[in-house]
Amino acid sequence: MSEAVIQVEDVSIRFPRTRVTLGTVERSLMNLIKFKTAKEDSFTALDKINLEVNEGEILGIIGPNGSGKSTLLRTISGIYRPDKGTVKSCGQITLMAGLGIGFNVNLSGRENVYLYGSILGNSNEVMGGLMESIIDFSGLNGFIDQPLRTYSSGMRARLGFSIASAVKPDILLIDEVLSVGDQEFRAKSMARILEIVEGSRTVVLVSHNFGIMKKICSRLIMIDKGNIIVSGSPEDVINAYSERKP
Amino acid sequence: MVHELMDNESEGLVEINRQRSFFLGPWLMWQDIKKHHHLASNLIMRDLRLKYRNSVLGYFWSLLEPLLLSGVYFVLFVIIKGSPEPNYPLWVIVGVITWGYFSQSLNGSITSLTQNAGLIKQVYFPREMFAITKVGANLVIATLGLFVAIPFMYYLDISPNEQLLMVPLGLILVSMLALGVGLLLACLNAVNRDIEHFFRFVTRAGFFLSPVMWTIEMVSENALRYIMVNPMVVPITMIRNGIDGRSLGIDSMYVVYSIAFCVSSFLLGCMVFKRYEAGVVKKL
Repeated sequence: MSEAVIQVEDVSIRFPRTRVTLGTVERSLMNLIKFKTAKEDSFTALDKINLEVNEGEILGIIGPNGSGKSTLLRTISGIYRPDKGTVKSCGQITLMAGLGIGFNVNLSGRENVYLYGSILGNSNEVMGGLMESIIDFSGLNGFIDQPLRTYSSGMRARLGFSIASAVKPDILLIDEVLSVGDQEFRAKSMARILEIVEGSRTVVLVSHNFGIMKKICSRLIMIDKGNIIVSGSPEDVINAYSERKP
Repeated sequence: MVHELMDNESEGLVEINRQRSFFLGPWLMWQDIKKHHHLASNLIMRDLRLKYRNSVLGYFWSLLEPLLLSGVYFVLFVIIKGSPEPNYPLWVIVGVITWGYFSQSLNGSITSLTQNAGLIKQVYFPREMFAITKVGANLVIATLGLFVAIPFMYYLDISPNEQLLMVPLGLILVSMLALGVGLLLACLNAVNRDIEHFFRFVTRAGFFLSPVMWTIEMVSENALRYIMVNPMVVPITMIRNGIDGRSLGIDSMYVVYSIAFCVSSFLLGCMVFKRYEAGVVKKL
């Protein structure tokens, strides 16, 4: 049996939910007079989740919007601290989500490679060594020294994917970023993901694209309302998901 | 609900994002900086590059700005008080640069979480980094700005002496105070944005209540007691008198108070930030 590299035990996450108080003048005045701020209640995003991911596994996570998929990935990557339970992992983890958010539009593509690389925890030397392959993979050769504001959103996402995947972390978490770029780039990124997995690295993937999930995942789980509902082979879980609602 | 089997407890696994002791805050922060110093230097470089982007004079603006400002205050001083000391322009320049450093760093670190909320929610990295690099970039700008004092020293025939050592000490105290208070309030500001508005006012008011346009020699003995409550009085005077080649001239009781204030707010800021950062991310 291969070794577990991610262990999620009894993890619960609650978000404080502020009642929508639009910042109107009346509302501010009312709060001031009553001397209280907006009342809060909480929303359970993850409810005692238990999950183990083994080395070399490609785990897919499916579920409706707002079911806790992204929250789970963010908790594994260390962004959210669980309110209850523990998350254990070994090795470097990279979360690919919202590609291009760490970019600065006034810096050039090349400068952004260094900046984003260091946000992901890599030294400038490492990024310098990877530079050529990143530029090649992104296919942005002619643009790399232009400021990022001249890039289209597709080009930014391609650069983001190229950087995040070039670094080859031990564990790669992917949140809905496989549909980046054009047809050709999608095929390339798919190949890159498979390559990462073949190097015995671990991937956890959130996507709504069941075709891709069926093709590359070794196991799927389905999450709804913060609970793992089904876990098993891709076919079974996707069938369960489609039968869930009439 | 399906529970996965949990039988093998491999030793390679490390618990991530564990809640650590409150008092370890400064130590944990130091560890983070050591581990992510590439990120720190890249963020500082980014701030510096972007600040003077698309300008012909570039970095000279950090010299020109305090120079022009002190010209205005000099005129103002002449209008109100008549003939000032010959060294007055130098004093004001140093005061303006030091106060600018403090207020930029403080306001920058208070808003460091809210301004970068998008990134903080998508990638994990030490979140104090933004505040630290804000202070770092402003420190570079202030230090470069202080070089404008050299022609003045030459013109006023001031030769640098051992008092010059007070300059780095003063800068360290200002950095600690700005970063400490900034970190302390950054978490709070994520919950309640009133903080950043209020402290924009505080730094504006502090400009007049700190020895920027005036020096402690101009203050009456009676008022000095109240003025000294402001922890910025000692650092500004240190930097100013250090460049001017004069001794500090402040009662050691006030000096100890000010140093203790800066150091303890720095330590407290680190602890509070490390304690609450994880919870605050959910509110961004």
